[in-house]
Amino acid sequence: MKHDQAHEADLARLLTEGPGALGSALRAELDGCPACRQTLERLRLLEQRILQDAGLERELLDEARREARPDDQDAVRNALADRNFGRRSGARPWRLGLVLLSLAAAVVAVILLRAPESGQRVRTAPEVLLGNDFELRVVVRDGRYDAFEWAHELLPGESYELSFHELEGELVGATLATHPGLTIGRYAPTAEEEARLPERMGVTVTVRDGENAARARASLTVSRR
Amino acid sequence: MTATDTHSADLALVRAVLAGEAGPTGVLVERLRFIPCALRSLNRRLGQPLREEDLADLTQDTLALLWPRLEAYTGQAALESWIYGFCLNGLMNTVRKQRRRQPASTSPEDLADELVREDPGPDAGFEHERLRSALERLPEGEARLIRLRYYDELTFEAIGRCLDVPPSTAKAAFYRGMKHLEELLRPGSREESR
Repeated sequence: MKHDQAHEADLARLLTEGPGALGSALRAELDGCPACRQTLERLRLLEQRILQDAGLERELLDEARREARPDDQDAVRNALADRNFGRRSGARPWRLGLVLLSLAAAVVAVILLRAPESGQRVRTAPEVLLGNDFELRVVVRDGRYDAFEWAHELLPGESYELSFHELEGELVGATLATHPGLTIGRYAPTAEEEARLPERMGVTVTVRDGENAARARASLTVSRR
Repeated sequence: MTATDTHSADLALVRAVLAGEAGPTGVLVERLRFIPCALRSLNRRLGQPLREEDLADLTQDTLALLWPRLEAYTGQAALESWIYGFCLNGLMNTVRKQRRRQPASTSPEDLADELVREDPGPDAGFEHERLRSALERLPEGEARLIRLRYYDELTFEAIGRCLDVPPSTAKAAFYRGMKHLEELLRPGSREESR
């Protein structure tokens, strides 16, 4: 049987419209044509391969949106900042230090969380610790974010960057405001800014060195209700 | 908003960033935050060929390389999809370099390990990379049709509306594109071995 343009058109219909696109007589004709059989088999395999690739891409992108960590955005910012500085940040030597700091901070956090209430009118809002390198807390007074306080000592050239984020479920979402260049462990929002902040949000304090590389970080979710 | 509208919006965002506008740059940085997690997930799916510290380096390298390459984004696919291809390529290049440094062992123990592993292993990544590389070499219109059909999951009627062509025209061009792609990927093809 001679493979011709009509066969090509029928193959195109099979691929784009599915197996039901052709009547049984036409289908039998294609099945009897070795070139058509081979082409169809190859295109079906290719289709499977593309579908697999598209499926993997969808799964991974969904996973990445779901599981993005608060420090992922910092990693992006740092990498882009490093690009501007023309060098790569030395992440490795700091990793062990950060892990040790995290462990120490976790121990301190557990002790603090278990400490008895002091009876002050000021309360610390409900918070979720997210692997912090130092203690970070919010002071809520009369249903307002009164101040954000953290306990960390800066090295020469370092500063704090405080940022507020929207929350998408339990995940940190878009950045609402960023306050870089802070040098003391306390920030009190103005009344105007406080009014713009949501009832519930994420707060992150990042310690940055003179080249804007992140050296330590603390994050928590806060609510003023 | 249709898939092509989304792609056009992505292209407008990238162009604004390249023009040095601050607001869009912030938006883009927000959107890029999926990259570290995508690389982690991809590495996990491929059987952890890279260690965590290599992944951290790869994240930085990917971002550093991506920024100047943004000019190459033409809006043919969603921005995240285009960047995902970039991540896949970066990860597989790193695996390739690693393999050159440490030639694969053919000891019976290693071969047995390969047979019992549940994940597809890094070779599956090379297959995905090869497919994407061939898609990039297709004529732009054909690649776009294949992406709209399989990656954006559009019907030919929807594709026709997006591209302002009759569905029959879209189908015919799609079929040509698939045949062309299949030829590019055929073992031994000059293009495939490039």
